[in-house]
Amino acid sequence: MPVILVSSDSQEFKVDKEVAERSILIKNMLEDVGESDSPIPLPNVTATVLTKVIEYCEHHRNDPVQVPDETDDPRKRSNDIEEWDMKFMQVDQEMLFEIILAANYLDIKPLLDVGCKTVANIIKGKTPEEIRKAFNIVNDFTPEEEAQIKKENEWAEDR
Amino acid sequence: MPTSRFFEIPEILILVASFLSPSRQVSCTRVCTYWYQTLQHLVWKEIRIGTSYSRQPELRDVLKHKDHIKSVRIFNTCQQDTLTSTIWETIMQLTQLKSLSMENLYVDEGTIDFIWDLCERVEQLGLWQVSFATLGNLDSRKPFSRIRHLDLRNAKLDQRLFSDNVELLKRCPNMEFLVWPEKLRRGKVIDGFIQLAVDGTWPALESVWKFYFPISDDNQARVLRSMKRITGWNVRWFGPKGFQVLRHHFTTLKELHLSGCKDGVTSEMLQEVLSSCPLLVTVSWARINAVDIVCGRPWVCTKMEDLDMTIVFDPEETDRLQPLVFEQLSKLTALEYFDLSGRAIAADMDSSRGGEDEDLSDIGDSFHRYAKLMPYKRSIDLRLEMGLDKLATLRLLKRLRFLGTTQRIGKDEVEWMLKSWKCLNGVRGRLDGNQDANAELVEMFTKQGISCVYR
Repeated sequence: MPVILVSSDSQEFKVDKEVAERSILIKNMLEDVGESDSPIPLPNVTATVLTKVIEYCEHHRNDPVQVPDETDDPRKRSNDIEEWDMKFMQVDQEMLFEIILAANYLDIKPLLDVGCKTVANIIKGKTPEEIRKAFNIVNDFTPEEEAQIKKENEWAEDR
Repeated sequence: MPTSRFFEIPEILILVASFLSPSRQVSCTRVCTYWYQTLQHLVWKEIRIGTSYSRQPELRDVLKHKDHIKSVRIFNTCQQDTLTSTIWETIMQLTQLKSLSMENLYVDEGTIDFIWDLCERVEQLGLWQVSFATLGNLDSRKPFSRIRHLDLRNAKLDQRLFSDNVELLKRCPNMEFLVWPEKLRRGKVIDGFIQLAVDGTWPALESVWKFYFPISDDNQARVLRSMKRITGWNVRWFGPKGFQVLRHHFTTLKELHLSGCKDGVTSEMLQEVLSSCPLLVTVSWARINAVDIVCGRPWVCTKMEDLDMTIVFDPEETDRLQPLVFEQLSKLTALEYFDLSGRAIAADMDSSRGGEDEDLSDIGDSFHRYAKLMPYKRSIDLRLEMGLDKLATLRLLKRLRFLGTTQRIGKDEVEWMLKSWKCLNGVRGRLDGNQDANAELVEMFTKQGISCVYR
């Protein structure tokens, strides 16, 4: 049973219901709407990004649904991205961020996790200045603030 | 611009940072004021205080973060080091404190009230090498009903072991997890504990870990029967009666350590566990017969991360059974630590396994005793022609051990391992009987930064 998704730039995508429902947002919308065939508008996602997201959902259509971790602090690691996902995430930074934002909006937790792990892997091994350069972030600390924060958190570096 | 829009959503920045190590998170707090404000609570989730740490947070900063700190670890190099009352008073002001662990502390009249006050508030309590000079007003206090997780290692009262009168255990009615690796042998204490369990003192108890007291199979069964739900069992001297009770909890069982139970545990039991417990994450056992694996039901424990068992083959059946065994092993796609040596306790090669390796001085030379008790007929043959390539599914494998087994691993195998197991960081065991051949293979590993030791 196909579902029609419409991107912010009015492009229509026909996808299987099972694939579309990897997005909890869409799944809930479909439950509310019932038997209706009307296309689902996704005003926050452009066509290029939606193409990628659908590609991900197609590939992972048979994955078991992730159950949220019971523990407050699940052991988190970023070195377990599977090969297909790694290749999938080899896009420029702008697209990477767009995919993550779309996954967040559409509530596709596995895609959100993989995307954030990819960003975490970019951050790994970088000094604060290198992180700023990588993401075009302005340093808005005064020199005093910077020194104070460095001292305040120093102890935590040993962990 | 997408970059700024991306990081402006705090939940996303926090999720990214949650995949980073604590020291990396610290670097992130220094990027800009927004990152600092958003991520400080991650850095300050747990603090460490005590003479064991070369760098500690300033008390005024601790107060500044009193709404962020959830866990406090106190660790002194020796018991004579005391903590000032200012430190205790500061800890008392933490509004979100859920977990407290103390190591190497001497608790006297000046501190006892702080300790009991904190016990009334926390959910997780750890007492390692803590000596109590006094129990203070423990008798007149309400039970510590918030405590769910209790870890007692050599907590002493007045030079005698604290657990001598199970005073603290009695007062934690909502305890769910108990870790109690103490070395005492007093029957009175064990009986006291068993009676309390059977009386229903801990209706929520689901996991007992590192329980090294001698306890009969009958008594184990009695304790297990008193538990409504069992997720973890790590007790020596296991047997068929206990196993019978455990069967009712196969659907919830996550952690099972029964090494050291040489006679009470059979190969069929292990096969039954592996094929009945879908949530298993850690298993440590003596041995399993290949024929039981192959004739038994398929394994369902696909969440397994840490497996410690010896697989034994009869020489006649080896070639036929090896590929079938590899087939079952290939299901363990989440496996990170694989020990085929059959040793009871993980030893010192990589002690980084989250501190779960306990003090061996009491247990003694367990591995070598084991090897003598269970001479290996034939063990699993880690060669491609035997089916090793089926283990390409074990993509998260970090450590592989096969001490005491006879292997004929070749260059092809090593190349395959390097290609298939990208997370591998340690191998332990003799790869080939011939010393020169072995040295060459070891070199192939160490060149890639993977430690390879055969003792």
